[in-house]
Amino acid sequence: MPLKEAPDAALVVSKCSICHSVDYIQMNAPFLQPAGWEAEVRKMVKVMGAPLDEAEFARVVDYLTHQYGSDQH
Amino acid sequence: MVIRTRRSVLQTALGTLGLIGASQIGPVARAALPSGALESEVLGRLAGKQPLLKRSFRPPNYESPVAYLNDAITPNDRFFVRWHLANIPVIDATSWRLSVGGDSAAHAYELTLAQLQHEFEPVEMVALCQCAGNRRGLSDPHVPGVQWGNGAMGNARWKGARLKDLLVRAGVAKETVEVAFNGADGPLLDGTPDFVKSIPAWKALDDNTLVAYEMNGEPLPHWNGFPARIIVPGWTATYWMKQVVSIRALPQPLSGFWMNTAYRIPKGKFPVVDRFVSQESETSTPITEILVNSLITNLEEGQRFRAGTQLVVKGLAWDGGAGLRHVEVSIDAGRTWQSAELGEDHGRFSTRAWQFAFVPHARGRMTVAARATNSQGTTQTEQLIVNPAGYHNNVIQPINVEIT
Repeated sequence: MPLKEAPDAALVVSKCSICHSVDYIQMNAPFLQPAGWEAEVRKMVKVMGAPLDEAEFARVVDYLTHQYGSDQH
Repeated sequence: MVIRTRRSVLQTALGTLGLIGASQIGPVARAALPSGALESEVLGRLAGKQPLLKRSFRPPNYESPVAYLNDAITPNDRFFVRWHLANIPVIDATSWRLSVGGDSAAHAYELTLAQLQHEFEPVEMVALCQCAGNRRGLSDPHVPGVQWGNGAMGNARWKGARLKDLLVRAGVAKETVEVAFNGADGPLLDGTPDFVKSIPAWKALDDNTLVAYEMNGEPLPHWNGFPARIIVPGWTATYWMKQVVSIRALPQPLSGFWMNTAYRIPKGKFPVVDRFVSQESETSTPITEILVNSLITNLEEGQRFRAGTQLVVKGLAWDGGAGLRHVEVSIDAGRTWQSAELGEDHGRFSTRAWQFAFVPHARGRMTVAARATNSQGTTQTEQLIVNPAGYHNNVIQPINVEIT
């Protein structure tokens, strides 16, 4: 199942799927608030070594928040 | 298939019976998996496995459909699969080596598989392997992680050597604090912490802790850790290192993400007995033994049964090794409970099958639930004990059926 189409979907696929399939994103939805997705991506960068620069970090968080974030905010 | 309970339906049912928020005995509403987890769920087939419910393709995380858990022993080809890191080598049994040593061992050595099998007394034991995050997906509110339903667990007859016997041969020091395990699997990026885990020395030296090379009379399946994995009966599966290649006796606590940050629970919130003192912080502690729990395995939400015809509710119950006292079943949304008939006893670390037969008479919705109690008198919780990673979910699970 492909990720939802949006301008940064390709960036998310290229970075996240280095280590894991993107169903990790799909199954963790839609319940995370923006701070929740930011914490997940920060963990991937700081702990797991995901190669994202600051601009890419912001774009990935923005994509996840808008496409797979909580539907209750 | 996974039993999916629609909350609104359930709340209506319990509300009609006056149990929501009003009763101390009524089971709480059972939450469903996140909608994204249900949409991305497929029945997928890994080599050598029956179709399992895919949570993630890579690394492979697949759970058993609840119907596969209908019997006390889970067949190897129906056993759940859980990996943290995607670099999972196919192990050649003849070139595999297990190194035993560490700073608290006087003499390190290596074992071949044949040596592991023949130079140590073999021990057989039935034990439940349950992922710490089993049922995480049923957390309400949801918490991030692999969104497991009820099937990240399996019960097998393991055969292996006592870990203690391997450690004694290495001349392990009395001052050993922890024993650490590493598997052959690894990360794809240099920056990702390798999955390494430790257990307290007292647990490593327990007669029941094994280095297993057989599962249900066969070599371990690749996906379950061929050729050998650690078995820590009663404790959650995070410590049951697959494809184990290294066992180290340590004079100090193991540090790293997988011990210091992951697989931890808030202190004092859960009815656990075993402690892992060397890894405790002010506020949290590593997860230890499995909580007392049960699962109805032969009913599905909304299933229809005939009034006047015998209905047999079947399921499993288990705990962290204290042993079960009894399993009770309610057919009136938790108002009254009756004892279930227990099946064969495979030992205190095993799941135990149970069944409850009755003849329903009244037509309409019937809310069925099961509740296990262990020998310490500890039973399942009615309200989820909220924790950041969604561990230890042993909430009583109601299932609504229709009597027609």
